[in-house]
Parts: sequence; structure tokens; C-alpha cells
Amino acid sequence: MIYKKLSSLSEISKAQISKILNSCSGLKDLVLDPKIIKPLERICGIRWLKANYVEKIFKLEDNIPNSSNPQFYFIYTSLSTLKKLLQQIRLRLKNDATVADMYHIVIIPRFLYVFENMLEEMGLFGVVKLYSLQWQPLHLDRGILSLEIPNLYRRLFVQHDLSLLPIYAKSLWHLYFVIGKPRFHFALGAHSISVLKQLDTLYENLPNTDKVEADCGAVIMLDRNVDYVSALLTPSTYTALLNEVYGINCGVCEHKSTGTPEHDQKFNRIPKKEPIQIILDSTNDSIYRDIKNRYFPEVTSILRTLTRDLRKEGENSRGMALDEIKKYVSTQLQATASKMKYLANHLEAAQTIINHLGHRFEMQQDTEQLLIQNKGKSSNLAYLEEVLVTENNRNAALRLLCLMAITQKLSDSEVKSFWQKFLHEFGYYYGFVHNNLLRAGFLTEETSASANLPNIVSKFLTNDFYVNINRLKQAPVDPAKVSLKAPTCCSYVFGGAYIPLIVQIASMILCNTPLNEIKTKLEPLGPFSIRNEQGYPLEARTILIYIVGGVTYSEIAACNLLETLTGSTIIVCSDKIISGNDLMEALTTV
Amino acid sequence: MAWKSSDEFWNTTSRTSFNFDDDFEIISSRSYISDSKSSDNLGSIVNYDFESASAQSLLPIESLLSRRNLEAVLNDVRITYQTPTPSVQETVIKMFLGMPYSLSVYRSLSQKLDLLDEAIASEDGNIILAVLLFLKKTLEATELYNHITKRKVAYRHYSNYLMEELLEQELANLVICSGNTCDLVYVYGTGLEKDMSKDKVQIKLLKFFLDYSKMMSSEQRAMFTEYKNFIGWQIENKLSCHTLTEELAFLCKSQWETKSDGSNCAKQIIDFRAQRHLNDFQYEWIVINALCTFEMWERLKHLFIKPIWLTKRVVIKSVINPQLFMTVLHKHNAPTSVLEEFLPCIPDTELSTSLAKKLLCHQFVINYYVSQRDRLALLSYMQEISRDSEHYTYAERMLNSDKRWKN
Repeated sequence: MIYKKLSSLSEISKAQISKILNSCSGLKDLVLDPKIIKPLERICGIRWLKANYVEKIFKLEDNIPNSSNPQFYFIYTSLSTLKKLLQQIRLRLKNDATVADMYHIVIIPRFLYVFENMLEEMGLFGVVKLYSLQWQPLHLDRGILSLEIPNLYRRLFVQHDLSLLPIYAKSLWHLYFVIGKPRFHFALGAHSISVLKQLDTLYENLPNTDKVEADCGAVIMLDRNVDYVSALLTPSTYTALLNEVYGINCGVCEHKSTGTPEHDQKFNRIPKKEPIQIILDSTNDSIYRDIKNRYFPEVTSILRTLTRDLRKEGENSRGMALDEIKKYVSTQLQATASKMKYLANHLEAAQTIINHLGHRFEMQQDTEQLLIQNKGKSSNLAYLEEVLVTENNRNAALRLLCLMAITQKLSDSEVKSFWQKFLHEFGYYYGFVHNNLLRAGFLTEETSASANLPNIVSKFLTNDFYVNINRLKQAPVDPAKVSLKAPTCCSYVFGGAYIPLIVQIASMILCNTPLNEIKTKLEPLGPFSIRNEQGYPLEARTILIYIVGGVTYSEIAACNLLETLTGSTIIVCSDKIISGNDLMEALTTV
Repeated sequence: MAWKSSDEFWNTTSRTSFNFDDDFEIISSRSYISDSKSSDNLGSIVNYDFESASAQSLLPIESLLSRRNLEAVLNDVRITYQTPTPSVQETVIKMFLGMPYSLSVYRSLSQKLDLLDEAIASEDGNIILAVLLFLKKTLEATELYNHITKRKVAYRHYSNYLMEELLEQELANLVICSGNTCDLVYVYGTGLEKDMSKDKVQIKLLKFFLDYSKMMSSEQRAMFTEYKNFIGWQIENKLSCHTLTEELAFLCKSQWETKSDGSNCAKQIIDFRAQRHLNDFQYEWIVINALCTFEMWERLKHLFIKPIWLTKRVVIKSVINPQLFMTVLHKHNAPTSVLEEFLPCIPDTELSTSLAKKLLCHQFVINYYVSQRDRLALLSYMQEISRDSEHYTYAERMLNSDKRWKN
């Protein structure tokens, strides 16, 4: 039932969009920022738009379209995008006699006061209309909600820009109209706490939900920077790896064939990337439902078996009598044909994952396990250098550095040596990235005095990271003993090395661990806040996990396993589904 | 002082409301001034000698104008007056909820700062920036920077805004004024684009260096110096790659693409490595990849196979570990014959044999087992070779030779 509600949230988004479009009667055109097309497709189809008097739809490019209909621009909140757009509109207005109500700019999720100032300063106030549209989170797949708002990690954790922070509270306020307000809230991390405060302000001043009963027993909010490790470790499950290699946007994994050269500019061989199109939808694609959270080596063997089975089915059909064939064609053939299509895509994708990561997967996983166990620092450093020099992949190198910096810690000279090579490899352009790493908390100004001590000494000093993961039992003692094939421990999502923090917190709450005990365990991780309106121990075993700054598919897979293990329902929500590479992109953007 | 006088005047008149019916004596300006004369501590006293017309020659004020009109004149006396302002909390909540609000009512510094702190406490960047821009309009820049400096959240929001609006100079002023000199890199980063022309980058760099190099940390200065030198060298040599290693690869390409290279590594490449302080691993990796791409196997052997002076044994001389070295050759589809020339140069025979197996260098493996007189190992390895290959025949011939096997 709850899933149905979540899927239907798009109806509310449609009503919101409809209100905006109807502010102007008659035919109109849409001009979409290319990044908005995918989420908008998920909310409303072309037929719905036509029914709302949309005549033409354009992509937002350097030149704005020339048409006589009123234009509705859809862009994400960005000062520079808006400025560019307004400059174009102003240019057009100079050549053209002004038509009233011609230009409308819909800003997702909200426009800022500074935008209005800009409008005024450019002399466009009253000529161009701005709209804030915070659409409802998209139900991408069973139990996965995403606001699909890009760059929030960068804004919040690298730039420390709070302009869009209120959208989290707003989204919960909206959501509670549908699923009721849970009586237990838990927040860990500075931003999550602010979200709860802002939610209070909304509740004090605006209408409350009319639902008396809540579908969820608890909401757990977490800041991305409280558990960076879950975003930095190399995942082992299928969907998470798809996101690593291809990138997944709005629940769709797509790659069109491009003529890639054999070598990059430094003569490294470029692995082949097969064209695919996979909609990550467990309801319609039964193959995907089966493999999405599996340990990757398992996936390849399942796909192989499936291929064999389907081939056998095809062969059997050849030996059928005429009426049997008729029946087969009318009932099964289409299902088989679509299954074949799904299968072919998954096979291509699996092959590409192997092409891209196969050569270093083992070495990478070994190194990551050593990092989690605080072993072999010098060999880990050597591997870092190898990745930096041989992969020609900025994100991979930086990501491993970040992981090392928060686990084993790096000395000034280690960072310096990496940095010089990094700049030589990827360009001095990235000179600012070191500052971004400081801002995001991967490095600290005083690069922890202990990291500069000889290894033997530093080993005896307690490192917060290891103390914390031990207290929360996040690192299985022997990863080799964790079953990856038929997992019973959530660490399987990282090859048995590490259990995502969110899973440990959710499991404590689902097991009704006394709040005092939870407090003691989590206190050292950062500020946290609990709102308990007689909702704990939980009444409903459905919980909502909300991560500020992006959630990973590994965390989702781990939550799915926790659901099975505890007989609960877990809805995971975030601003975007991300991978470690997205975090690295955020750090390497000026 | 004049201001104080009018203030008192206001208070006096407003305390006792003006009433024509009462026998009210309006305080004349003369008596008023002399009043202030008596208090010496108020500052320098104006020597006021002007004698006004005697009281008798004046008409009473009530005959001059109506009560209503006098009120109008008096109301026209303007003073700096604090209108009642809504509390900053109230305004910030209105802003948070998107309701109409006004900031222009907050005019005293303390009100402005209260407003800023309340905005920061709301943790809504939209409000914080709106308040900051209001302060920018109504405060002097240095005054504004002083207060921003004391508030980290405000500093971040304002500097992000300046960066996005490409207000480089203002950003620099803020960064310097607040003492956050490590943020000078963001001043450089403002308006920086990935595919800027080299000339533009050079101008930007030189200007930046001239203005701020003294304020940078030694590390930052070293980095920018390296950058500046590299760009200068690129422009001089009409080269345009993005990075040092790409530039090295480009040099290798121009050297080896034609496969006409003489004996040694080109001077240009060696000079480049030395001048730019390129790390050995990075240097060798590019060179190996380039040589493999152009299939210059002889050159590769020449550069990387060296005899050890003491034992006269030849080894792979590279900072790159043998495993990685062999794997990259294999990735570039190096012929088996080439691989088999490198394999014996790995001193660790266990490693070389396992690599040979992985890279399908059958001849090497067979020879190894023969040299070890290990018949059983050879037999089991033969299972992995296809029966109709020349390697299988070779292994069979070896087995049937009159070699003395150890098993």
C-alpha cells in the first residue's frame, strides 16, 4: 500500500505544474534544461503536457527559441544559469515589441531572493515571472525516493551554501500530508538537525497534515559526511556497479554507442563501453529484480544460466505442433521476447563492468579491506600511486586518497607527494581541489599530528574512525567469512568489509534498542537530535531513511537486506542517488 | 549640539501639547540659546549676538496662521526618527515562509547585525544571502567585511556569491580583509574555464601572481610558480596540452609516431622530464605506453632491459613493478615473442612463470619446467595447451628427449 502511495506522489507534482502552466491561458511552449528532461518525464508524459496546452517543447540551449507562444522555462536553482537566460531574454526584448506574459521561468526546487534582485537590476521585474517548484520526490524503484535535485552535496558540504537546505524539511512536510507524520524522528549530523528545526517552523506556521495515523514509525535522517566511507568504498552489487561504470540518472542507465578511440591521450588503452538502455524497475523487469542487489560475480553466472534457459525455450518451440506454436506465440512469445531484450542489456552491462573494473577489482577490494582494518599502510600508499598513474582516472585516484585520509589518515608529506603527482597528471587547473578537500572535511588543517609520527607510534594512538566503527560493529572481523552468495550480513555490499552506518542505526532502532544506549554509541559521531512523541519503541515497522547529500545504491542494497532480516519495510529517500564518483566531481568543480 | 537642541525643543513642545486657549508662552529662540550657553560641558558655545525684534513688534502666532496650518509646519520639522520595526525573528520567519517582508526598516548597525545573526540561525542560505546583500547596499564595504569575518557561515555565503557573480576583485578584498588567505585559490578560480586559451590563462596567472603571491602560503606559491613556468614554456614552444603527462605523451608521439627514432630517447623528452620534475613512475608509464602503441619493441627493450653491473644478469630496470610492467605490455597486444624477451628479466622465477601462464607464453613455461627437470608439472601444464599447436608438439618433443627428469 505504501509503495502505491509513493508512486502516486507524481499526481501531486502534476497538480503543482498544472497550477503554474495555467497561470497563463492558451497555448504555451516549454523550454527545458536538458538535466530536467528525465525527471520531468517521470512526472508527466507528453500527452499530459499536451492536455495542458503545451504546444512545443524545446531544449534550453545558447539561443532561446523564437516562437509566438508564451514560454515556460524549467531550470534548476542556479544564479549563473538564470543570469545567462535573463540576458538572452533581455536581448530578445530589445528587438521585439514586448508581449505581456511572455516569459515564465520555473525554478526547481526554489528561486532565491537574490534572483528577484537580479530581475529588478536587469529591469525585468514584472516582465519575466519567476516560479518556485518543489516537486514531490520521485519513486524511482520499490522503496527508493529521490528528489532528483543535482549538486546538493557540493552546495552543502563543499561550498557550505545553505540556500537549498530548506527543501528537505519542505519535502517531509509535503510527504507527511500523504503518509502521516511519524512520531519518532532521529537526526545525525548538523544539517539533519537543522532540517528537523526547519520542519518545526513549518509546522508552527503552516497547515499540519490531516492524516491521524502515520504509515511510518520513524524517520532517520543522516548527513552524507557522517558516513563518507559508504560512498567511497568500491561496491560489489550489480546496480551500484552500474552506477560506477555507466552512471545512473533518475533510475535510468543509458549509454549510446560512440566511436571511442582505442587509446586516451596518454596512450592508455580505453576499455570498451557497450551501448545499453536499462530502466531500473524491479516491477517490470524480473531479471533486474533478481540481480539488482546481488554480489556481482553471482550476477554473471545467473545471466549465463538465464541465457541458456531462454535459448532452450527457443529450441523447444521449434519442435512444437502448430496449435502449440499458436498458443506459445499468443501467450509466451512476447514475454520471452521482452525478457530477451532485458537480458541482452544486462549481459552487455555486465561485460562492460568487467572490462572497466575487472583488472583491478581484486586489488582494489583488498586494499579497501586493509584500510578498514588499519593494516598495510605502505602497500596501500603504493597502490594509491599505481591508481593515480596508471588509470588516468581523476575520480578513482582522488576517491582512494579521500578514503585513506579518513581511515588511516595521511601525513602532510604524504598528501603533498600525492598532490604534486595529481597536478602533473590532471593539470594545475585543479589547484583549488586541495582547499575543497579541507572544506569537505577529508583533510584537516593540522593534518592530525599523529599522522606525522612514525607508523609504529601512531598505531598505538587511537584513531577516532577505528574506535567508532568498532563500537558500532561496522567492520566484520574476518571479511572472508562473510557469505557473499547468500548474504546474511549487510557488509556483503562491500565484499564483507564494512556495514553502512545507516544500516546499523536503522537496525538498532528497529530492534528497539534503548535510546540511551543509542545515544552513547552515536554521540562521538557528531551532533544528533531525537524527537520522540511517544513513538518509541516503534509501533509500525516501516521506517523512512533520509540522507542529506545523496544516498548510494550500496546503502540501498544493504537496507533491502536489513528489511528481509528484520521483517520490516524501509523507504530510502535522498536528494539524489549518487556514487563516490559524484562526490569527487563535486570536489573538483570550481 | 544643534541636533540636541532641536531634540529638546521637540520634547518640550510635545510634552505640553500646544493649546491656544492656555496662556502659553512659546520659548523664544533667544532664551533657548542662552539656556544652552549655561552648560559649559556641552562643547564650544556659539557666540550668539543677533538681537531679534522686540516682542511688542511681533504678531502673536495664533493670528498669523490657523492651528491646523501651524501643526502642518511643525510636522514638517524632520528628525532622524526610528520607526517601530518588527522583530528580526518575525521578519526572518516571514522570509522563511516566503511571505512579504521588508529589510529597509533595519537601519541601525545593531539591528542589521541582529538581523544577520537571526538569518544565520535560520540555516536558510536564501535568507542569509538576501540579508547580506541588504547589508552590502547599506554598509560600507570594510564595515561589512569586518562583520562577515566574524561569522563563518556569512563569509562562505558571501564569497560563494561573489565567485558566482564573477566579482573577482571584491572576492579578493574580502579574502584578504578576513585573513582567509588560503582561499586566494578561489580568487584565481573565479571565472576559470577548463578550455581557456593558454594566453588567457597566462595573463590571468601573471596578474594573480603579481597581486597576491606575497600573501600565499609557501606551498601555494610553489604550485603557482610551477604552473606559471609550465604555461610560459608551453606558449614558447607552441604546445597546448592540459597537463604535464599529456604533454610528455605528445612529445613521445611526435618523436615516435614515424618510428624513425635513432638510438636514444630523444633529448626533448629527457629535458622535459628533468625541467618539470616529473615523477619516475609517471614518466616511465607514459614512455612505455607510447612505445607499445607505436610498436617500438626494440626501443622498449633498449630502455628498460639493463644488465646488473655485479652479476651481469639482465633485468627489467623500472620503478614499475614487473607484474604491472608485463600486464601493460599484454594490454597493448605486444607479440608473445616480445613478452618472452622480458619474462626472463624478472629475477623472481615464481613470479615470471605465473605471469607467463597468465599471458599465455607457453614456450616460456615449458622451458622453465624443462630447466627444473619437473616432468609432472610439464605434463599437467600441457593440459592447458591446445593439442594441435606447435607449443604442444614442442612440449612433447621435450618430454621425449633424453633429459634426466627429477620426477
